Amino acid sequence: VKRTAWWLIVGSLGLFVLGDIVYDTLVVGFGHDTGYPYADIIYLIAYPCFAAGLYGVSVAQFRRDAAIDGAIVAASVSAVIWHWVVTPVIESSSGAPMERVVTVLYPVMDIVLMIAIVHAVFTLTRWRPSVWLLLCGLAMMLVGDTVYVQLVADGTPNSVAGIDALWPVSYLLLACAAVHPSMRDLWQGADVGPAQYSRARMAMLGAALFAAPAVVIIDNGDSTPAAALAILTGVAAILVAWRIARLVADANRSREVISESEARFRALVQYATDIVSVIAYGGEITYASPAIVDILGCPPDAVVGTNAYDLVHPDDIAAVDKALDELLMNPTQPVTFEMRVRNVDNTYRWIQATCTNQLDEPSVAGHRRQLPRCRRAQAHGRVQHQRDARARDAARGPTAPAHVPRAAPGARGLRRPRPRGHPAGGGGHQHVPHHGGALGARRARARDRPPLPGGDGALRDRPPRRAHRDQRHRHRRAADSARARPQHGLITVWSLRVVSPDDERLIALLDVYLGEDRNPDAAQRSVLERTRDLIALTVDRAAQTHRLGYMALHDNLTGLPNRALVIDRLHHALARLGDRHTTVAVLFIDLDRFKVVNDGLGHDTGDELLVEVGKRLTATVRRQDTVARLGGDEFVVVCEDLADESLAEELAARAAEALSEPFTLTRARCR
Amino acid sequence: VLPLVLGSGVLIALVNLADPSDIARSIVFNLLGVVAFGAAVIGVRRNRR
Repeated sequence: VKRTAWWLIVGSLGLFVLGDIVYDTLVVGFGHDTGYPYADIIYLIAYPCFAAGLYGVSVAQFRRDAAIDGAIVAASVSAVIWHWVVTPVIESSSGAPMERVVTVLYPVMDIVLMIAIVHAVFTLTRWRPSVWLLLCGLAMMLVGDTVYVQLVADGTPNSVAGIDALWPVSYLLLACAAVHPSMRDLWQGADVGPAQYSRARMAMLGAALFAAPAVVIIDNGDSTPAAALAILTGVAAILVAWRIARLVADANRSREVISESEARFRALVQYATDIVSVIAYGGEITYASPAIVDILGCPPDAVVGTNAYDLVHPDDIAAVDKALDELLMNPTQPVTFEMRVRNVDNTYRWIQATCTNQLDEPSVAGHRRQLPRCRRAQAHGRVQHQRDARARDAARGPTAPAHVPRAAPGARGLRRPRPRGHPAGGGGHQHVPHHGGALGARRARARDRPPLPGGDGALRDRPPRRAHRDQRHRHRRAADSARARPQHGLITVWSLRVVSPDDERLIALLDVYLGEDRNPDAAQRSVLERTRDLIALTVDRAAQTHRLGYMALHDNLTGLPNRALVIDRLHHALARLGDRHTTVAVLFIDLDRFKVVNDGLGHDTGDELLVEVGKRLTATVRRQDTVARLGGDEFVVVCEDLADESLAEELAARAAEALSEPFTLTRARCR
Repeated sequence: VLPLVLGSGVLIALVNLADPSDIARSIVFNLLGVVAFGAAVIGVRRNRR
């Protein structure tokens, strides 16, 4: 398009030259009074071609505000030209009607050309030499046309010496614009964003507003009322333009400040030696700083768009989940933890990660204006991975456990909701790892994703784990709940941590969702706190009941079933015998000379020996067998589903063999 | 480009100052127009991408 536009400009230049030759041939060579109609036809074709070419060159940078500004200026100039040029020409022209029309068409074509020029100027990205040459040539052509038409209207076309020289000079300037190498870059480049309103541009717009009153003042200088009205109108126009100019200046200043700040922070992130990454809702990595090349060996583009869990070692996923849950439960507290992440060669590297919740930052969580209110319940996270110390890599080895800090105590109580960021957990259930909910749901799909460039896909084949599967189901429920809440207009959540009365351990989250954005009043706060306390007591009582029941049926020293439980299981085993072709065996085991150990080495050593005996017996028998301690040094093993008695004898022999090995205790070695 | 513009301007000024006949002025100015057109064609061809 642009090259075609330039050919249009060159073609129109050729038409102007051709028109001059035809005109001179007719007037000078053949003695005609004018060049009508042949030269005029050529000229009138050249004008729209030139305007179209100029518009085509700048159309790539078309902006509506520039077009409106161009229309303002063009309208004012057109008014002036119409009043001082076209009207006198119409009034003074004589000859055939078509000849008068042709005469009037010249200033009209100048107006068309003027509109194209103004649009081109307002869409310019850079003032290059070619632009100056082009605009100077056009200006000279318009001046020559306007002056000549005015002289023709006055009946003195030859009264101004040198007027003929304006056109060849304008042709040369236009040719120079086409020859200059900078013509390649005119009206070219990326989107320059909103229009930059410079002082010159505002002055031009203000002058355009004042054009019509100026015409009235000049033409009616002897009429006081008309001149006064024109002056007042002009003053008002100038004041309006001034006011707009100040607003525009403020906007430009603010834009510059924001741009500088953005550039500064971008540079900080881009050149940081730590990896800075942004993890969005669902666990997707939306940004990674270039430092990832130095640390993990892969470019940022390779990880952006992938799931963050793809990079985490399978054994560290639970720790990451726990850390992110803490982050969401305490949004104001950064969470630091360590984990292993995958390098580009599929080896793992220990890093220390510091996660901060940036849910209140629209620039991180998304543009606030573009976020519907329902998105408030979704979770975003920003993770800053700090670079690890290389020495620590060597010291810790690949299997060292990750350290996951616990939630800070005393962080309980009402937490003013984080509406946009509050987690996706459903109301009414237990502790929901809100943030991890979405992450967990995505993690299942993430396993099927390809590895990083250069990897062999080892992560894809890791076996599913029950704990993670259960967590995924919980996370899916949380995510489904998060998606459903906005549909009901629930935009705010009041969240309370329910902790154990005994040890301040977090046991649940109480979330109350509502459709208005406000804090709870005193009464509501009281109800919420009482509800939280009741939940804590109920959960704690259930836990205590469970613990008492366990203690009633188990030996508190070895943890094995006690006499009551083993008798109960024996009854059940005997009751089931009628339905099966199997038998039940009961092995009674007691330790010889156990009293010697107790008396000689102390009861602590005796207890330690009993615990070890229980462990060996449990390790010896089958999964369905029950090992119990009746009391003192007496143990019993209930063996179910035995095909015959020989199997019972084999189990007894294995137990005796296991116990025949010496016991290495803290204070002694027994056998 | 600049020598071309300057040279043409000097030529036009000399022609006008000498106040030649209409024929001479027409010939000179039309020749300049043809030169400008030719230069523009060459420039667009050379600068195209």
